Amino acid sequence: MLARQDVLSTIRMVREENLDVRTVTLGVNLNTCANPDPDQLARAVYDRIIDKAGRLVRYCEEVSDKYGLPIVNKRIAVSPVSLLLEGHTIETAVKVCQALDAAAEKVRIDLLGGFSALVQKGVTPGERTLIDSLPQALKLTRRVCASFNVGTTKAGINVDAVLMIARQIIATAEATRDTRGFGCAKIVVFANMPEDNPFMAGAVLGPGEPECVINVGVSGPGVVKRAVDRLVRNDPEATLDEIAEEIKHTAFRVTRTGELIGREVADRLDIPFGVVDLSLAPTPRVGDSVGEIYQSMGISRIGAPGTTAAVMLLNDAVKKGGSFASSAVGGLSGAFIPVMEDHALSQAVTDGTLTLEKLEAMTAVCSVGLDMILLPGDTSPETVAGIILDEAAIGITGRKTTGVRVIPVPGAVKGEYVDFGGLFGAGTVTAPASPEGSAEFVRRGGHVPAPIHGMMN
Amino acid sequence: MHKSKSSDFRCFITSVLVPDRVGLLCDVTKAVFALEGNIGSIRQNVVDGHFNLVFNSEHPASVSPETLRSLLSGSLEAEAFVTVLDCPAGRKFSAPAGSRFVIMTRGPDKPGTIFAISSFMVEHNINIQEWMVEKEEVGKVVYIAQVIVPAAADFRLIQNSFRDEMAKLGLTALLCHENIFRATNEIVPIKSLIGQ
Repeated sequence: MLARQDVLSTIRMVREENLDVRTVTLGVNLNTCANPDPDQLARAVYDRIIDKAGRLVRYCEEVSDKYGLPIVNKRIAVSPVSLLLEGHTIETAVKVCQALDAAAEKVRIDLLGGFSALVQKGVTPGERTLIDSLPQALKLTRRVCASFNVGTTKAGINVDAVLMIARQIIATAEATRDTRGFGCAKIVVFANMPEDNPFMAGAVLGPGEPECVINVGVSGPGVVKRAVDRLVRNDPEATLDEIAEEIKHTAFRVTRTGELIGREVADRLDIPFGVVDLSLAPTPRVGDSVGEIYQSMGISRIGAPGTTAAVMLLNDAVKKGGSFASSAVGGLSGAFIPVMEDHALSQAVTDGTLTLEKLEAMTAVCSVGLDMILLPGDTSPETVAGIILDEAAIGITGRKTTGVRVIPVPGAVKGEYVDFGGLFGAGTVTAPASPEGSAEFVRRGGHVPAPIHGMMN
Repeated sequence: MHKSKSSDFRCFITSVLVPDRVGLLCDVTKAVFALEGNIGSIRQNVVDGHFNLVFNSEHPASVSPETLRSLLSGSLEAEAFVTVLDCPAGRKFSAPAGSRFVIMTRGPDKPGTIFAISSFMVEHNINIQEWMVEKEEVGKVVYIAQVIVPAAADFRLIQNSFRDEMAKLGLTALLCHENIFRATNEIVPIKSLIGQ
């Protein structure tokens, strides 16, 4: 028999606190599609997505109704497309990207990840082709997301790849000038990239994953924010450890919900269930913000001293609660700080309390990195590369994932307001305190060697 | 409940309703024990100061339902209502098989609401197993019920229909599978909840 309070508290989470499942992401391995003929390759990719994902949305809707719980996004992550491009041209890469885009539209998916390459130790011709295709591929498609792994704690950082990708980020911004460089919102550059991340733009089905798998991203930050608010309302003197405890309990319940939904969808698709990603992924909506959680904790001006500690507390409590809830925790699992996608963070950047450098500090203790940050249009490739290198350095030294998703907005200057609309949000163009001065360092190329603690054997 | 040969024993289902006081359960079980009874399932609650108990018990074949009823009535206050039914082992009940769902309605506390909800359930062959009430702000009430939705039923259709019907009465309503509540409150592997 269910207890009355258990029923009421769960209903309250669903109806009043926005409990949901943020994403159910179907991983699909595309390696069987390899073909020397570009048209046959693109056709095989399209057919494979339709075959494996054709029922995903319907099953998600059925499970969502059964439990009375919204599944906000249904998405697909494919194996790195670069693996299909050896011996092919940029034109083929664009054609494959368009096939992915068309298939995603056909199966009613808003975003598909995996136009990707893992280049932490070197770049193959196929990977180079994919990198060079980015401006055209992302200009001509709407749903496809690209991601790269440029460093690991074991391998160090591939600086040549970083600069190569940075140049294509600038080129993609220019190619999508009519949408204010929106193409770059679909490119993320990782260090220690997870192979089972269900969240965009970095979702990819890693080489060690099953042929098909369901990974789930848990509910957004609104539930945690309201739990903290309730605690503080009932006890204005609540200590930080009491807040951490409340977040842990909430993360436990949120994670259990995610696993329940994911396992049932996987069961219906007759494929394995993979992981629950505990990450709190905000949207631009008020009440669905990670920044608001920091404010509820007592950081009235995000970016003020103490903000990094608040990020750490939140990230750690989410992990502890989630790890106890499920034995299948994976992906990024922490708290995202995507500036444009989080109205409180975005406002803090606009207000000038949150700087790029403070965000960088926060990324040392959050689950990802510099995410959805608008840069001036005249930002150089070397500066973008320097930003990526700094983040990758934090990642490989901290043995954690870090990522960079920046949008150099063509023609825009620092302080300008840019609105992408929808889930991608809006924000103010910001810039490093010292935008120039690292070109010589970046252009040296080569590798940043692996840190000593990368030698784990 | 210990196992025994059915020919040697009889099973009863007993209901007791009496104004609440300390020691009622002790008095009831003392009577059952005096007749060498062994209690299996038992459910007790208190509604508006009235103790309500339902249990089944297994006794030697020489004990009749009337014997147990008399002993219980004699052990309790005069205003106690005691009913004892014979419950042969293996007896089948007609409640439909299906999945366990939870319904919830929230809205003004007014006569006829429970009748409307239960009528809807009857129309759709849904068996109500548990019923809970939660008073909210003045004049508002939340009804929660655990129900069995027949396996063959289209729960999405029922879900939408329930929401629409309750909306006509000024109630918000939901119907969802019980596993969402178990998942968020119990510490058991999720796999076990969905039968994997």
